[in-house]
Amino acid sequence: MKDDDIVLARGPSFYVGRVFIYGCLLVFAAVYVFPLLVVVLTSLKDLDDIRSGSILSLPVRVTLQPWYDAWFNACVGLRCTGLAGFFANSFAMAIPAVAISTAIGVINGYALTQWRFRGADLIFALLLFGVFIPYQIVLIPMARVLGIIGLANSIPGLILVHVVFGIPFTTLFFRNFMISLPGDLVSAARVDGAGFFQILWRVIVPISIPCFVVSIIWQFTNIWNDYIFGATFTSGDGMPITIALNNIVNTSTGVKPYNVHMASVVITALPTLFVYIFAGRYFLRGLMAGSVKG
Amino acid sequence: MTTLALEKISKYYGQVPVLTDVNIKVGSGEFLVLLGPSGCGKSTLLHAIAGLHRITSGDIAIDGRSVNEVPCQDRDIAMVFQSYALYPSMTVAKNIGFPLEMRKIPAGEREKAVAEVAKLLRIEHLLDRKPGQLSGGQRQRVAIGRALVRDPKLFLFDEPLSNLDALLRVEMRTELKKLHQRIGKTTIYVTHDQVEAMTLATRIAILNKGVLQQVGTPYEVYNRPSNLFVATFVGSPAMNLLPCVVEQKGADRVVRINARNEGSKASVRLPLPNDAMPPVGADLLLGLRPEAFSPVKFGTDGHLIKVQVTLIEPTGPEDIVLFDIAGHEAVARIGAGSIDQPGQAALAIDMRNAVFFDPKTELRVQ
Repeated sequence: MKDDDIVLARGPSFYVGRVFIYGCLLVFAAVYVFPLLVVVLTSLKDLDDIRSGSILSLPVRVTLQPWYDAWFNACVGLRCTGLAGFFANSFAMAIPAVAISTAIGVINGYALTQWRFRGADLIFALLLFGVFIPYQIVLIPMARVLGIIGLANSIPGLILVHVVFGIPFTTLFFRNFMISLPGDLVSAARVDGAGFFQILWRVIVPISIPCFVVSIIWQFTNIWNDYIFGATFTSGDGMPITIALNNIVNTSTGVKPYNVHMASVVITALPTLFVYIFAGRYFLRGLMAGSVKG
Repeated sequence: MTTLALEKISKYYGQVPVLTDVNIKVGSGEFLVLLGPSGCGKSTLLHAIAGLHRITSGDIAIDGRSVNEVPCQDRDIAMVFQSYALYPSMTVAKNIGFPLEMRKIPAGEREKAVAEVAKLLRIEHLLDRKPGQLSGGQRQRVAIGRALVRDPKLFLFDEPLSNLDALLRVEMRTELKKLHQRIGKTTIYVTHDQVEAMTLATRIAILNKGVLQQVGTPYEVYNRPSNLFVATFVGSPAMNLLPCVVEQKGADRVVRINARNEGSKASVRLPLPNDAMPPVGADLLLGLRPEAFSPVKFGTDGHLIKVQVTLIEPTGPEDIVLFDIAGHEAVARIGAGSIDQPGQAALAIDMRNAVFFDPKTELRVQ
């Protein structure tokens, strides 16, 4: 117990309260942990083990074969080449899409807050509409547009779609962050002789890192987990991993290799998990170094 | 050396006038203070000089060359902001070097210039720190350093001391004045603090509601305020304003302070110094600074009057005394302890610095 804890009355009601609080926390933790536990345990069993044991029993023999199969041999439709290629597809889609939408969001937020111009608020309000547009409405027009510009069924096409849909969100994040920055910073930099992009790059970006964290985590998770655009605009080898996973799991012929399915699920979910754990930690540590204070 | 001329500067936000027809000429090496209450347009004027705002009409000329259409980075000015506006992600050395870097000065020269400025401002030991790790006074020095490093034509200060605590403010004020004496650059300085304005300025320009009220030396502004606004805004405690009429008494003229109402004490008559020429018979306001009162006579023609002292506020070296004169409340600044308690007292009045105002036009009567 630290010395600077707040003082609480200690009595029977205090302990009853504590038991209740920790009880609730345990229940909620279990709700989130059990599915993960089932998935991971099942992915480490062979098929006999799965059939004979209960869903929560520990593997009799731990095997990594399902993981190997998921990566190299799992069948997506008729092609049994595993998830590896689709995993790469998803990265090839998500990384440029996150980078481009975030970069445009930064410039939008900066221009809308630090270089106020007539109609800035109107433009921001119009951009915000993008946040509320349901994806389904634009599927057909978007398919037409992708066809006309020759990007149908391709990763660059998906990148374009995700950038377009990401800009309202990233603009919202950066605009709302930068509106709180002191306006004198940009004035001072202008007096010092810096131009629009020099000020952005040297002064504004270094203090906007917390906002980059939010934008990158949000965009990466959304784009990686996207299903509807991937399913609509791609097929065959160009699919992102989420579509491939669906096709692996939803086969209706033969024996279902549950262990391979579970391994595929974990593989598909890992990148977003890593973004949360590492990106979040790394960036927040940079934030705490005191660069923004004052 | 640099001169600055502001001619008929007006600025509107939509239909709202922020500055109206401001004319000021600033000579080379001058320290001009723009003084006024908040919202009077002084910061807007400074930002217009810097090129951060457009003006609606008028002309800003630096060294005789109109800069209305020159963007701020090409006006060769440096500015210190109220919030200091240091770049949070850069070290102190990078902050100070930034204006040089933006003007493509090679790294070697840059380091030399930064080191010189740091030495001048005694912040050499802070060069590797980030602004977040500095105290208010240190940040202030860094902000001044960033303005000094480039040797600009014109220095602009936007309320640079208002975020400091009282003690530090006085200290930095002295340092700013020393700095100006040493480098002698033309400086425009915005503040709402009249003490700061009086101590620093070679000339003060007083603004109210976007209109220039008076431009003059601290002495002129204090002793010969051009109107009632300047008279009451400059000086603390404020100037006493007493309704009066000037009367002819044979060869002499005297000032009669009108009683506030029937029940008040009889009006008070004061002799006028010979050179003052206020019109006879008109209703006027007599302006007397608190230090125009004294418990002992001023010179030979001093004039003692009986007053009723209501309150004494000691400030250390002096007492601020509230008293009643012909039913009006007035304030005197006198030596500590010369009146020891409220009640009847006699005060001499020094009429040499008395000023008169027309209550209708609010202008000073010459």
